[in-house]
Amino acid sequence: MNEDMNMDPTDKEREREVDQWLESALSRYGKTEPRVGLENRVLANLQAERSRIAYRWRWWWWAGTATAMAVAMAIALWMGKSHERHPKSTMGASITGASTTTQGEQARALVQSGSGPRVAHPAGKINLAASRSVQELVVARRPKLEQFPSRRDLSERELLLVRRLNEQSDEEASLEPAAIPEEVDLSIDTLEIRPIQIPEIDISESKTN
Amino acid sequence: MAGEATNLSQKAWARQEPDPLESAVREHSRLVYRIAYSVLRNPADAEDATQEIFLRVLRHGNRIAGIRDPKAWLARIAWRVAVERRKSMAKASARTEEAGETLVSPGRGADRVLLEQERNAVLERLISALPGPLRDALVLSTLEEIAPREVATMLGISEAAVRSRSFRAREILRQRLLASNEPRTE
Repeated sequence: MNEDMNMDPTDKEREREVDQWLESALSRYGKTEPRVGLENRVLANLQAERSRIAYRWRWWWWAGTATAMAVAMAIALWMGKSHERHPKSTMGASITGASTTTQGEQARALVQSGSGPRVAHPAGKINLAASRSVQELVVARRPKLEQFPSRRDLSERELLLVRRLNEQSDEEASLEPAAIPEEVDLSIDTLEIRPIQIPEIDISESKTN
Repeated sequence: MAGEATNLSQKAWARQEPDPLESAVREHSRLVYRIAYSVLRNPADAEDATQEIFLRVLRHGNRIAGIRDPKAWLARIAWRVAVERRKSMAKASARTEEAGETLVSPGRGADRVLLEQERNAVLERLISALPGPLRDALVLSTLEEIAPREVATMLGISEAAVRSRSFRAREILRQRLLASNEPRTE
């Protein structure tokens, strides 16, 4: 209060002026008007965004549907192919080019060492049917890379079976010449039926005895 | 989420109901603009921020239909978006000159318009020189549409703190105006 009383009238005037100006300036400060048509511009922008969203939504829907269909078709094709391939693989028909795995080497070692199935017999006397089936078994055991799951190594029992078939083929080959039967004359001579001759028994002799 | 927004709008249209977002734009776009302007101090930036705010509402599922107080909700979003923009922008120097254009009243003489622009530029400079918390409280308090309670919610402080900060900011402005011999008399 004392300050107010001691103040210069021009200063008072100045303060009052500043206060008034500040109040009016601050009240105008918060009443900024946007450019004409702000609402319409915002609404137009929202409409454009909505159509963008709808378009994007539709695009994603079609993309998703197309992808799902492509996946379904791929699965169907794959299943069809695997069905076709399955019987062939059991017959051991196809051999892949890249069969340089340990399984292939194992099978080849079995064949070469003689413990496994023999592909060619030295004497050329081999039971071809048995040899072929053994060979097919070996070929079937080679890995088929385009198939899933991959083939396993020969199990112990399978190796024994291969060995057994090999031995069997050897035995059959060795027995083959002896097995040819000789021609025997089986004709029967004419039969003669004679009456039975019974010798007479001397009764007196039998009494003395 | 975006599909939900489109569906909501389509349903509202099919039932011939006014779109809640459209109603919000018509009712509150001016307030949103003012809040954005109070932070950004540039008409073009404020309008961009206004567009972005309503686009955010649309992209986030058009939830405005379920909001109890859409005005306060939009004011909070506007404040957040504007502050984010202010942080990401680093061009404050040219704004004070442009700001005067929107503050002048039409239908005045050229000398008065020029004088008013100059005063507004001074005020802009002084306000932007205020400490952040005081400036925010003062700027939001100048918006008539927003009650002190809403300002307090937006700033995350109490109503008393809003009043106190606003008063302190005014006092600082007053002292600086007196010290700088501004505004000049006609």
